[in-house]
Amino acid sequence: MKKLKRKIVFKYVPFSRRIFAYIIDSIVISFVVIYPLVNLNPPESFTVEAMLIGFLVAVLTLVYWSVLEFMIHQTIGKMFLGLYVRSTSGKLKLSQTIIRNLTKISTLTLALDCLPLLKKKHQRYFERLSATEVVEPKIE
Amino acid sequence: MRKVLVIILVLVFLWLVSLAAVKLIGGEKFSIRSLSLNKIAIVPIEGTITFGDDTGLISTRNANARTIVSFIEKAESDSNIKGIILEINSPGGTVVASEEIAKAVKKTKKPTIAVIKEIGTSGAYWVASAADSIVADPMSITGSIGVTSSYLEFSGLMEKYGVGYEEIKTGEFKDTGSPYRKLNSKEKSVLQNKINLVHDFFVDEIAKNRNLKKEDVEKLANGMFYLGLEAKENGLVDVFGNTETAVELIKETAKIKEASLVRYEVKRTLLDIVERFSASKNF
Repeated sequence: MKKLKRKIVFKYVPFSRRIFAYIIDSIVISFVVIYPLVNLNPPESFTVEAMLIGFLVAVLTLVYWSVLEFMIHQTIGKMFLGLYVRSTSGKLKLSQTIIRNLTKISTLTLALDCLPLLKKKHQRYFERLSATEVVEPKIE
Repeated sequence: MRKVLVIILVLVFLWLVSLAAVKLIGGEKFSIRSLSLNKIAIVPIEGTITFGDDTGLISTRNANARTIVSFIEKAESDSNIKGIILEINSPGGTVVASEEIAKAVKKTKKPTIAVIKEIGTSGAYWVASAADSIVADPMSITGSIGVTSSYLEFSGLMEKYGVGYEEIKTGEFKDTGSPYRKLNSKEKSVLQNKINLVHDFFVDEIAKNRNLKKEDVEKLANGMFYLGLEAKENGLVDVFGNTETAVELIKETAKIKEASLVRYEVKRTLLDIVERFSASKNF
């Protein structure tokens, strides 16, 4: 009797799926971080408070992505789509997840960082810099 | 299971940090209650009501009518705002600026409560009268319904130092109110008539806003201020209390149990301070 051999392969993730995961994470962050900080206490533009709130939103956003990816290799968005973050150089370190998520503090920096994904490269600039990648496990 | 636990812990941590930051930065109450969608707007009216600047670098604050009207309109257009509290601490101000705010208050369809803190007299009382109810402390100073217009007149001083004043004009009343000469009796009478007109309009507005008889308001409108105690007796104030009392009144009117307070005020930026400081140092 012929025995079926099955193995798990890690495939690179298309840009559209990564965007979808990012949108889900952004919604989560909006509820958990941005809603209490901005909606409950609407800041006037260009005040010290507004700058502080902007800084806090950036830091807490970075904490969300970095800590979850370091601890469980996924965020809520990635969980929904079955995506994982892994290191291309051994065990995933917190410093790697911090570096790979640095550009997420601003939409503009993230957009620039994502340019390689549009060219069908599988890693953002900061993913290459941090030696990390996003993969999707498939059974073959 | 571990994954879910990690996610919950991270989200709770981020949420708590955000709420704590709101308390530290904005002074909002650190409680679950502050997450309620129902809000009550607090619009402070502090200092002299004018169309001038809101704030001074060190000097007393002014209540800019334009800013206050924009706050009232902003609160009116926000569906989460269930009522507006006008927190008044003002001796009054110019006629048009006070009327402009009063009009905006009357225009709003949401419950409005005026809270008179230490002082809410003259134009500030005009504004308060436009609200649905007036809350004041028994010791608050209010009333002072009347109109005043004054200026310094230097003719005696000029005469003492041998300074003359020449007037070349086309209309009889063109330089009425010049500080360099005394008013003649005709000019005094004309100005008094205008003041009387403003007074009559003021009394009329208070009577309409407070549902009082014009004759009754006329009796009170001698320019005298009243303590909250006296004001309640003669119908110028509805309830004794403070901002918390007003919050409860709005909750009752809007039939809501919980509401967070949103304070609308001009926040001075670093740029403002630098700008004002440099402006005061012009040579």
